[in-house]
Amino acid sequence: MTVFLLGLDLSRPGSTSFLRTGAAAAFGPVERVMTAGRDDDVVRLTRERDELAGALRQDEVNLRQAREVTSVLASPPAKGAKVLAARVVAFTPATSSGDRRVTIDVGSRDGVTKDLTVIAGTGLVGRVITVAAWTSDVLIVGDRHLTVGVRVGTAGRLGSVSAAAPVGSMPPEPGRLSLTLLEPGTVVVGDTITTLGSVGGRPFMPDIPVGTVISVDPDHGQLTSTAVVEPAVDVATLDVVAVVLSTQRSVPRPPAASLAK
Amino acid sequence: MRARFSLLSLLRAVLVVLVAAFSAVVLPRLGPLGPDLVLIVVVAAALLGGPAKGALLGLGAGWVVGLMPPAAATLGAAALTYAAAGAVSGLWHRDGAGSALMPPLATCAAVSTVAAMGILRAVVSGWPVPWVSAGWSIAMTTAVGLVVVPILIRTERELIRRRLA
Repeated sequence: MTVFLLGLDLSRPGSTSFLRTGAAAAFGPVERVMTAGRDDDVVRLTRERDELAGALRQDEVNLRQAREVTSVLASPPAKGAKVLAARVVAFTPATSSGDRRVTIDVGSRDGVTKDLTVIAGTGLVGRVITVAAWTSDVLIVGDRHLTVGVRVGTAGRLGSVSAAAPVGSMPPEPGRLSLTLLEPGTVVVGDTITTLGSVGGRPFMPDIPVGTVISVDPDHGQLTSTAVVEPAVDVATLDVVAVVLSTQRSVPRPPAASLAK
Repeated sequence: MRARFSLLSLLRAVLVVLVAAFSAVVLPRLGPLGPDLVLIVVVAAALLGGPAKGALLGLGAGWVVGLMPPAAATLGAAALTYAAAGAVSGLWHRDGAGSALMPPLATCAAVSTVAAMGILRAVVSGWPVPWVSAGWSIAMTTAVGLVVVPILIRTERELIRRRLA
């Protein structure tokens, strides 16, 4: 019978369609029920996959933030200092021209006070200007109201860095800074810029990287050199930062014996 | 009538605060340039209420924008700017349904007012004039206003019609 039907199906393919139709009518509903069950499985598995993908993304975010915190806490500026890790929660809207500020999620309840230095893993972010109970506003590098006293290159020449253009110079491109030396001297491309530091470490701790000289302005007869600086920190993508809790020196500095013979 | 007006004002105030927070927290993470979403709320109210109400809401919205952390360097500047923008966009107010061109025109006029104030401030202060960011802001805000302002107006009218506001 089977061989007969096989031969019939091979010789006249359409002649056995009634069998297929009947089988489909009988087994189709069973398959549909099983398929419905599989639909549930698919929905469940899809939901589980989406949940796992979401958890993985969250883990990646947590891992990135943990790395950033580690990077900030292990950075040279933070060495030996008491720092408070913080996260940037808000930025000055893009529609606000000129102002470059961020809000961080630590405030006076965490020990933050005005004029503390804020750093990221690669260098200077800015200084605290307003402190609330749980948040603080930070004036960041790139704001036209922020000028930082700096040392330039290995010679440590004194200068100042600002987003505003020095008198007689072209304003820097957005995201770049202007360096003005405060004493006669030369500056070359590649010179590193670090903070000069302030009395008591407020508003700036010393030796924090600010940026690197990327071009030197032509000499137009001005008294001191000016240059364009690439900031060490990309303030547009700030996430994890640290507030340096500067402390006044409490241990008297011991005098040293002269080494001259 | 006064209670209805007050409830609608409260809803607008809440919306302004939420949108201002969104503009400070989320929008800057998406890119360096973005639309002025707070202004869109002001434009919708100005198109419904006219120049005076637009200026009033603009003033309040500007204060919210200026005070929302991180607070602006010059408090009050945003308030006056948004008040002027609200008054300008209120000039497109019509008592009837109005043309479909009104929302984008009013939004463009309002955001151009804000951009002009920013350019004026830069010129007076000797800062680089933000031509590019001003242009992008005008284009993006007008594009968003084209879609969102009619929705806001329709929602507010519906709330008033159902006596919910």
